[in-house]
Amino acid sequence: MTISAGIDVGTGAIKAVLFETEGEQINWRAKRNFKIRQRDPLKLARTAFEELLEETGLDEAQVDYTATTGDGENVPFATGHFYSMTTHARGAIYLEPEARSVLDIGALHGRAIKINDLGKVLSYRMTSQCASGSGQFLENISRYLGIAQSEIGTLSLQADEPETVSSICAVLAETDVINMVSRGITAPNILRGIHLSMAGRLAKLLRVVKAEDGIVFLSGGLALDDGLLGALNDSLTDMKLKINARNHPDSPFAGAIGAALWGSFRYQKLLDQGLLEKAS
Amino acid sequence: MAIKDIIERCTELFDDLEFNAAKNWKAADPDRKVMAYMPVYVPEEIIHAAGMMPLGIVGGGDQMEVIHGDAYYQSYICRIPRSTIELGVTGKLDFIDGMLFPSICDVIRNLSGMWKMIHPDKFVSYFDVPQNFVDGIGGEYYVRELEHLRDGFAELTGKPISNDAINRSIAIYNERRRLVREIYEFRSETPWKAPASEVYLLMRAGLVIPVEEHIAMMKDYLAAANEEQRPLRDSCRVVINGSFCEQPPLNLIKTIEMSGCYIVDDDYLLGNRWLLEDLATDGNALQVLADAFLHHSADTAAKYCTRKEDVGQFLLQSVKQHKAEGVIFAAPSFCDPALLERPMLTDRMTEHDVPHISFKYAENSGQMQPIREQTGTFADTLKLWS
Repeated sequence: MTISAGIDVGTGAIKAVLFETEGEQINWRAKRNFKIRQRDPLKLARTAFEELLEETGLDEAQVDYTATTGDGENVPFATGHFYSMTTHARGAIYLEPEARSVLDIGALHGRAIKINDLGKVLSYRMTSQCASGSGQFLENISRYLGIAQSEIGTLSLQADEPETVSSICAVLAETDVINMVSRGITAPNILRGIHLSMAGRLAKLLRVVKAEDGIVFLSGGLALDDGLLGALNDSLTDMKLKINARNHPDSPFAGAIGAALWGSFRYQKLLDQGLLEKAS
Repeated sequence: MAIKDIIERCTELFDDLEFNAAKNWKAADPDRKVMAYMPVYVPEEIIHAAGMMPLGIVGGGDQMEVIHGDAYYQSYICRIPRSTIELGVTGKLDFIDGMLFPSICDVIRNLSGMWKMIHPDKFVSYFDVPQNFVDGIGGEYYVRELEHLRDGFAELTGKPISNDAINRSIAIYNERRRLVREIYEFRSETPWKAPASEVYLLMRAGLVIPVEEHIAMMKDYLAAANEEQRPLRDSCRVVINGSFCEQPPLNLIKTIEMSGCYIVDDDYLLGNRWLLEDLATDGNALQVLADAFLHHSADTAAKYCTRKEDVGQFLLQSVKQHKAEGVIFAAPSFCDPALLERPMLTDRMTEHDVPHISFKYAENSGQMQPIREQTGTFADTLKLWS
C-alpha cells in the first residue's frame, strides 16, 4: 500500500488531500481546503498537511510521497512537484472518468486542457489577456454588488435579462458593472452577463484545444459556481460544440488529488526502478 | 565558511555592474592592469602571466537598462553586445586596460570594431581561434595567434612574458580547472546539495575576481556543500545546452530547478572548463595551450566542427556521463551559433531517444511563466510518461 499526500498551493486557497492506494484500489482518506487570506502559504501548507496526518492517525514518516502542485514548488517537506496541468488532468479523471477535457478556472487564470483516458495532457490553452476570466475578478464584482461569493451562482441562475459585459479587459468590465449598478440593473442580470462573458472565453479555449468528445470537467476555485457552469453549457451549445461541462462537489480538490495520485504512481515507479532514495 | 556567506559574496559580485572587485585589485598597485574578455574562451593563462587580471564580461544582465547600446545595433541581434556597449559608453569599464573579443560570431566581431572606435586609446584585440584542427595548419596558426597576443600584452605592460611565467600560470589554472570539474562532478552526483543557481553564481564570481581568490572560494564551497544537509527531491536530471555566450537571467536557472529539474550539466560560462584536461607545465607553454585547444577542448556551436557526424557527440556524451533524462535547449534570442546548430543537435538527441525541449531567452527576460510551463510539463513527462 502506498500513502501519498497532494498539496495544491493556489493563488487564493490551499487544498490538501491524503490517499492510500493498493493496486487499482484508491482510498481517499482526508482533505483540507484553506483560504490563504494574506497568510504565509508555506506555513498554511504545513498546517494543512499536519491536519491530514492528525485526522488519519498517521506519522509523517508513513507518508511515502508528498507531492505539491500549483505554486507549491518551495514547500520544504515535499518529495516532488508536478505542474498544475498534469495534476488537474489526473484529478479530473479520478472524479469524472468520462472527462476528456478540463477547464481549470482559478483565481488568476482560466485554462483548457485536453486529456486522454489516462489523464495525460494532450494539449492546452490559457487565457492570455487579463484577469477578466478569473475568480479574482468575480470576487471583486461580488464586493461591488455587496453580495457573498457563495450567492453568485444562485443569483446568476435567476437572471431574466442578462447584460452584456466586456469580455476583454477586467478594468473595462468593472467600469461596465459600475455603470450597470447606477442604471439600476439587477444583480442577477449583472452576474449572468459576467458569467456569459467568462463562459464565452472559456468555450473558445475549449474549441482551440479541439475538445470534441467526453465531458468537460470543471476544476479550480470557480468550478462549483453553478451560474458559470450553466453559462458555459449555454456557450458550448451556441458554439455548436457537442460537449457538456460538469463539475463535482470535490472539483476544487482536483489539483491536489492529481498530485497525490501521481505521487503514488511515481513512488511505485521509483520502487520498481530501484531508485527509492529519490522519494526519501 | 558557510554556504550562505559564500553565496552572498557571489551574489554581491554578480550584482555589481561597477566591477568593484577588479577595480579594487587594480587600485592596490599602480602597476596592475585589468584585461577584459568576452565569451566563450580566451587563454587566461597568458593574461595572468603578464601580471594582469582577466575580467570576464558577459553583458549587463537583467538589471541594466540599455539605452545607448540599442543605437549601435539593428533590432534583430542578441542583447549581449548592446549591454556590453552600454557598459562601455556609460563609463563602467573605463578602468580596464584592454578588451579581448574571441571569435564566436559576426556580432561579437563587429563589437570588437566598435569598441576600438569607442576606446581608441585602449588595447583591443579580436582573438581568432582555428577552424582547422590539423596540428600543422590550425595548430601552427593558433600558436602564432597566441604569440601575437603575448607580444601585445608585453608591449602593454612594458615587460616581456617568459615561457616559465606562462607555465606557472598554467599550473594555477590547472588547479582552477580541477576544482571546476570537481564541483560539476559533485553537482552531478548530488544535485540536491549543489543547486545549479548556486554553482552558477560561484562560477560567475570567477569572472570578476583574481583566479587565486576564486580557487579559495571554490574550495570553501565544496567543503561547505558537503556538510550542508539538504533534502533530496524527486526531480529529473537534465542537461542545459545553448547558453554559452549571452547568459540567462538567474531567475531562469532558478525557474528550471523549481519546476522539478536537477541541472546536472550545462554550458553556462564554458570558458572555465573549455580545456578538458590538466595541461603540462614544463613544456613550450603556447604549444601546450594550442594542443589543448585543438585536441582536448569542449565542444559548442561556436567552435567549428569538421565532420557532420561529430556534431552533437559532445552533448550526447554529457547526457550519458551525467545520466541525464533529457536536454533543455535554452539559447539567447538571435544567437546565430546556438540557434543554427540546434536543429542538428535536436536531431541527434531524437536519434538516441533523448527527450528534449527548446526555448529562447534574453539576458533581461523577466517573464518566467512560459518557461515554467515548458520545463514543468517537460519534467512531468520525464517522470510520468518516459
